[in-house]
Amino acid sequence: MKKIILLLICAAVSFAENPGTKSFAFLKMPVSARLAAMNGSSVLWEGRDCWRGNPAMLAFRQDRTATFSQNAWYMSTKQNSAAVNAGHFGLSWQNYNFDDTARDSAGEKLGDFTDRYGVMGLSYGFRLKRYTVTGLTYKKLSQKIYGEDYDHSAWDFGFLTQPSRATAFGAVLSNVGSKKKIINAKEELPRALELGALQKMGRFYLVSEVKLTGYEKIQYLLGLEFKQQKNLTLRMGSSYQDDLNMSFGLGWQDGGYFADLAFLPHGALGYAYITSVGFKF
Amino acid sequence: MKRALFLLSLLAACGRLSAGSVVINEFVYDPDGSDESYEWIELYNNTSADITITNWKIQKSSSVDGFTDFIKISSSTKSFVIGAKSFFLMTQSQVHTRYDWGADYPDFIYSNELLMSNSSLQGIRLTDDSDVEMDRVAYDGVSADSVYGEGGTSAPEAGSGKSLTRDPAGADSDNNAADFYVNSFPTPKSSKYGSFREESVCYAAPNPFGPDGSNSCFIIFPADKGALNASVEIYDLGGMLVAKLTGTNEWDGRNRYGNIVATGNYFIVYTALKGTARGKMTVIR
Repeated sequence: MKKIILLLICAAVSFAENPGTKSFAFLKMPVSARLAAMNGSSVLWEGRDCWRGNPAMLAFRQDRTATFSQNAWYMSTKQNSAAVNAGHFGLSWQNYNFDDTARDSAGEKLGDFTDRYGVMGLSYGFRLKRYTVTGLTYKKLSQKIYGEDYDHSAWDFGFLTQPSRATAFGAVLSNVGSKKKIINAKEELPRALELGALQKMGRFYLVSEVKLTGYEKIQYLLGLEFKQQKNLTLRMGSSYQDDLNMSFGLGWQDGGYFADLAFLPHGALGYAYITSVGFKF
Repeated sequence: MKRALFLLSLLAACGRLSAGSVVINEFVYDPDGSDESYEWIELYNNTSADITITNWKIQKSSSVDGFTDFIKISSSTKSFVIGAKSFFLMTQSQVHTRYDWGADYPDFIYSNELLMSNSSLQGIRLTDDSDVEMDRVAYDGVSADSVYGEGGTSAPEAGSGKSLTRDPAGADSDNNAADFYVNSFPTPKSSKYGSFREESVCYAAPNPFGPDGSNSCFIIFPADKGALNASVEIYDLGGMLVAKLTGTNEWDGRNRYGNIVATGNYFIVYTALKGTARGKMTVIR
């Protein structure tokens, strides 16, 4: 396994930096408030929607839960998502709309249009050993750009191991798929490899991850969660790529219900908010 | 009757603008090359109310403390208003050709054979329609013996192509030497500059843009005509910086490493001299 991870890292970093050259870029947006606030997608095994980041987490789940998230993304664009899991199986959906205005070369308005992106995902997680799990997600992608529809598919693969109750290591390889011809050019998906570690210290969770894409700089992610009371949790995260970006969040849960909020300031683009609510059924 | 007249005159006095309400905020009196048609003067309204400035004048010094009419802000077809905390730009007829503005950019275009720099009596003043002085500027480092400026001092010599500018806008301590600095990058601002802070929206033209390696699009911010000091950043949907343009608003669809970007949607951040606008665009290859 170590050799495989090492090979993946070498493969990812050997590519030249090439930001903006992958299609279906909306797949880079976070889908859950807790994951966005904590930056711990590959290793956060507790939490009812953590399997959205790493499908291996479904192997730990015995319950049935439903979650709904709304992502007020930059520049007044919005993403909605919903997910439900029953034991080791998960079903998810997300939708993102981007309103824009067509203009001619002189800047005169030609009319408004809306680009739409969608994902329908089917996930499954299973145990390899007692504390070592893996999982996968099949994603059916749709993209409507300036009136033209494009369908595609992608896979996510997740892995997690817990050497002790307070420590975990995880990895997620996401958006694996073939090239897709969009308009005139064949374009690739925004694949990424996340490697993370988690340490539990009393009421604190500390996660640290690296995100390797091969077409962007390596991204370094840190997250901290503090369970202040039985029902209330405070979160903070940071990510470093070209600049340092912070994220903040809080969570509340009571019995079978939970709600999370994440706040993501971006120096140039403004602010994004993600809210998630869910319940056990 | 006397009491009524007294009250009326008191009311009239209260309604009158005080000196410094509207000031000469920035001007170029010695443009690069020929001065004819390229000088300009920018006013700033320090008050919180719109002010009608029809028939106001810019006068040029003719003696130590004497002035003759230079520009009269008037038109047979319209009146002129300077908005609260806003600018008003007066230019000679062809000034836009040198600064690459749109022809509609100035608020008032004047035509006058007189020029600001061709005199040893370097001074101008702004008067209202009753010839009451609103502001006065002696410039080019002239001595108080030649022209009497505010505070008995003169603003410094600007040099060719540079402007004399108040910083911050409208700052007026009645001392020309202290209030003005030499601005190497003149920033003429019209009444449309007021919309700069409110609009804060930019866009691409054309949009969608189809980069093929040889064409380009323009990122337009209507309040920053000419895009002389533009800095444009283009981000993908995940917030990753894809491309950065400095000193230009023309984008050829390539990222920071020279490769053409993918089909999809992008966020634009346009930073101009005194503000930032955000917008969206679509690329289809």
